[in-house]
Amino acid sequence: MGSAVISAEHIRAELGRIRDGFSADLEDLQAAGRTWDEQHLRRVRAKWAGPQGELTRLLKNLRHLPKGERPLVGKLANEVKHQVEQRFDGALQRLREQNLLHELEGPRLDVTLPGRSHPVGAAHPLTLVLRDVVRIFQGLGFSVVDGPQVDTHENNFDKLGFPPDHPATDMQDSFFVRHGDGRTLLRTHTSTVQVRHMLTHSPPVAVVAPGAVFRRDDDLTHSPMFFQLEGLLVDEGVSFAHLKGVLLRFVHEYFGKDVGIRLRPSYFPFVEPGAEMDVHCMFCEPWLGDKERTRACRVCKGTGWIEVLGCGMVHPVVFRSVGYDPDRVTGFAFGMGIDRLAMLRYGIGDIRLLYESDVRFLSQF
Amino acid sequence: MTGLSLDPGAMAECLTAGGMEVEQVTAFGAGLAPVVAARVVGVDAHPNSNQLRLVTVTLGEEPGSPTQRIVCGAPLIPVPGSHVALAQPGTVLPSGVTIEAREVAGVRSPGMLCTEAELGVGENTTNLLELPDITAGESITAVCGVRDHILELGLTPNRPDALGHRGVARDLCVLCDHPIPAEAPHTYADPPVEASPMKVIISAPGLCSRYTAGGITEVTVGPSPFWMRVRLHRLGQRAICNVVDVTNWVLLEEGHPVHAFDFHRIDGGRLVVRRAEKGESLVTLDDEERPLEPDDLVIADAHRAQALAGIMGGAHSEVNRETTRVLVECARFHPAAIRRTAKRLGLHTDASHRFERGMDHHATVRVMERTRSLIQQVAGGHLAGPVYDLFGEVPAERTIAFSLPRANALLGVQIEPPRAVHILERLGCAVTPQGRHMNVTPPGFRPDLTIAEDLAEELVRVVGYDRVPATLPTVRRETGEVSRGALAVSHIKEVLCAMGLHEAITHAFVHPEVNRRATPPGREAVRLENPISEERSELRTSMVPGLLSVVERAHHHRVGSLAVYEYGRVFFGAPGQELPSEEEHVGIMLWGQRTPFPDGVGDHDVLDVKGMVTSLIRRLLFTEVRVRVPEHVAPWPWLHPKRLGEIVVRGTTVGHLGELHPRWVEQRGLTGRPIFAQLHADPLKAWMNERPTPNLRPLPRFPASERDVALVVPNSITCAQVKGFIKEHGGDELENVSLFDVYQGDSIPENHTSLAFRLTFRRDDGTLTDKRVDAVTRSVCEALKTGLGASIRQ
Repeated sequence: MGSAVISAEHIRAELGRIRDGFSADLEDLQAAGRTWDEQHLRRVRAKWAGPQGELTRLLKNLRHLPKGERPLVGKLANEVKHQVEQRFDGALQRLREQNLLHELEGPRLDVTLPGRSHPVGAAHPLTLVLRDVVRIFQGLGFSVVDGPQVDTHENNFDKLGFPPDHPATDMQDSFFVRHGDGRTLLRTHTSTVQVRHMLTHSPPVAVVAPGAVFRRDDDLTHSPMFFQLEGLLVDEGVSFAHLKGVLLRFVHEYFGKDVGIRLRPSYFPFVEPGAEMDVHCMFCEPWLGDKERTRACRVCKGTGWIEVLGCGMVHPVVFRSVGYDPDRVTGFAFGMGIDRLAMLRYGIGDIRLLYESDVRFLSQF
Repeated sequence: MTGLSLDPGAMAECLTAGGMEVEQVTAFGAGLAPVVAARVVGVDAHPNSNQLRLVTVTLGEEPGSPTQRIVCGAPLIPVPGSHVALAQPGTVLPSGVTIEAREVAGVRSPGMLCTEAELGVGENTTNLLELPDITAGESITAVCGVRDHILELGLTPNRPDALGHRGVARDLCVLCDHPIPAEAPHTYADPPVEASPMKVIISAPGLCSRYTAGGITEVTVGPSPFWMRVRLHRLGQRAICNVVDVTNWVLLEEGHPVHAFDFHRIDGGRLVVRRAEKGESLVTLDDEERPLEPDDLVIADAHRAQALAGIMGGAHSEVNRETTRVLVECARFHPAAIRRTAKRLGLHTDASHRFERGMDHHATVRVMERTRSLIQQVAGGHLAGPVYDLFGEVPAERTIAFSLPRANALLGVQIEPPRAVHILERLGCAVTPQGRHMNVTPPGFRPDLTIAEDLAEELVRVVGYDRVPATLPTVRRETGEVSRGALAVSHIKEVLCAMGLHEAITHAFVHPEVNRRATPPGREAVRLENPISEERSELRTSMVPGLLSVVERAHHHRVGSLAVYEYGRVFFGAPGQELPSEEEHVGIMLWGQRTPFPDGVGDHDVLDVKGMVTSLIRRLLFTEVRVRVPEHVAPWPWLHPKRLGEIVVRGTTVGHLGELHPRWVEQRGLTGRPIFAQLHADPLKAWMNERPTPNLRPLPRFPASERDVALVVPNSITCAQVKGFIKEHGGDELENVSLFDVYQGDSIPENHTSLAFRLTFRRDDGTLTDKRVDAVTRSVCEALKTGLGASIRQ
């Protein structure tokens, strides 16, 4: 195309051609039904009005027009461009609306397909129970402490007032370990932590000590390793009534407000008076008054009560062995079996399941 | 025994509330009311069976009483005139079987003739029970007291007084505020016959505080009467012969063991309570020869040991069919001494169980006399010889200074002085007021009462533990510091669970073979002296054995994959230290496919576990984690030598990770590649407790620019090296470098890897120009080429 030979007439005609060409293409596209998409639409616009399109190319020629004609033709060109844009926008909007309608009326997503997994692991049931129990005692003002699992005969028995050659030691058959003078053992109860804590702290003392303990037993209800939580409160004026108050509060928070407790005299060398605590059986719910249900209950064997812990007032012999003055302070201690709480809570019949860590078991919590 | 009338349920409740826990109540003979004595009239063959017979019986004693024909399978039918037990329709046997009239092999039988085992009154399962001294037609429950309840007590070791029926009855009376029955003196049919005297000596007075013995002559040894056998059977004792049965009866009734010697087997007219001699041995009643030691106490005659004191009699002087004269012994031996011998010999008997808990020093004469009178009742005979009653070292009488106000303060109750005195006296204590206190002397049968707190327990035990109010104390807290360790542990567990790991808990004792394989060189495992089994005889030195067992279990049950962790202790020998050393560790084990459908792509590998460890530590400590190739692989022989790394945090090695050694995995019969990591939790906890709160960085105000750089490096160069190199040459504006692709294969030379990094640039004080970012990126690329010999991919 030569220079300065372009007339305004020619440009006007070209502009018309562009406008009509765009319209025709658009109509062709729309006539094609649902086989076209945004991409096609944009391609049509690009062909006629895009940076490399016909309109742009034509407008480059405007400078060859006589100066006086340029504004008029320029205005015309802008009008065409505007029309193209408008029609493009309209078409685009219709297309989107159509697509949306189509989707909304279209097939369902099968939401029954499995979700894309974000695996979350489970804490061990013993951890879950311990977490709850510890939280309750922390709420009551107790701190959490721990001690070694391998300990001395002295801390495990002697300082707690177990007499040598006394049948009381039969209650806790120990695992001895090969070390030193042969009086080293796996702790048989968390009461060792009582001793250790009092040896290193002056009264008042308010601690709970959760942890693994070990006894030479192995059957459906006894595991050679199991978990206990020890509690100890020592201060001036601590009484058996306080022990009962703390335990009752624990039971109400852990098992529920309806669950009653029963303390029975029992014997542990390191407490006097000593007791065992039963709680109402949570399976036959005796507080509801259905005696027949309790009679038939296999968990509590028809008694309505389940034993959960041993407790009592700290024996003066223990205070003396840790350097506390039994004339000045009194205290209570309790020890509960966490395994038993877990077995009751989750209906676990065989204690060994807790330590086999079968993944089919672990994934249920 | 007491005249106290309580139904068994109420009695059980009362005993349990009083510290004698009733573990089981068993009703006996409830369904036996229709069982009557029947007189045998005749026996005929069964028309259809050789095994069965037809027994004609009658329920009347007069001739011509109506008869019935009972089909019976017993091999021997008692002779006509004998009385047998006939279970009439409606009887419910202890086995649960209900008797009804029915046809047996074609003949109608209106009941069943029973053996003692069928009635639950004895052990004989073959012969029909024969009832002497009974009238036909009488219910056997009326004659033999076979209706009964057995209350089984779970006793604590501090209550020897409750190891016999009399003691339990006495305590029950106290608990129920019922009069305590006086013990009746024993009366004998005739005065003692003087006979050959014997010398009785206690030569070990420290081990025997009292020895009482008395004779009875012209006894007739034979079976015990039915009532005695039934009762002993119910109480779990086998009937042996009348004299021995009496000693068992008395042990159960009085709670105090007694022993009967065949008097004629005691040689030399001497009975000596002495320590065993070195090299001495004794054949006990169970026909075992027991080697003895000087620590053991024996009852000996002039020549030999005749009984293991307080534990078991000797075979030589055992009462037998020929015995005509019996010497009854009732003594009090030293509890700890009896326990030591019984434990050493593994010989736990009803007698040793009682003696090691402490018997009443004052009871020996009474119990011996009770035994003699019962023997006379069931085996006849005459009392013979003097009653020997000798004393060794008598236990000192304990008098406890008791302050009621202090006891009330300890208990948190208000028991008034008269009530307290009343209770203590009924328990058998002697009480004398002493100013504001009282002096209390407990009875001989309560060796467990030694201090004021024991008496406080007695008071509240009788008043009722349920009468103590429940009061919440004001807890004076300790500082929160104490609980920090526990808090850190629960945080660690929470993060691990959030990453998809299940928590495992496994036994701390493991198989030595597995343990040794995973013990770091230079460290010692701790061995158990008395393990339950060899498989559990060592304390673990790492988290490997437990977590490996979890994999093995999963493999065994065809669970194809798992992702678990365990938080626990490991133990190492520490010679010279007070205790072995304990460390807390976290182990992670991944095995098999990653999370299943729809994203399960491939099996877990080392980078999975590295990702978890890295995220865990970042979350806990807001700190970077480095996993480096260790200089030596020797410390971890249980890991794949080419697929392991050391975990480094703040310049300290805190753990390791890798694939378990494939050879070991194969040896254990496992498939796949278990991936393992272990972190020492103690330093992590310490760092966590330093409150590692991150210092907040201001949020960026200007946009970042990103450039991707892909390069090919020889395999000898690690990713960490390249990354470090880029950081070093990227200038201050390089904010972050992250790897987004690793590729080996087509178009990459052999032994080379293609790594693609995204570099992020940013300034704090303005927007970076593209020109600037391109220039820095180019210079990084140049440095990679010259410094690392990398080729840049376009």
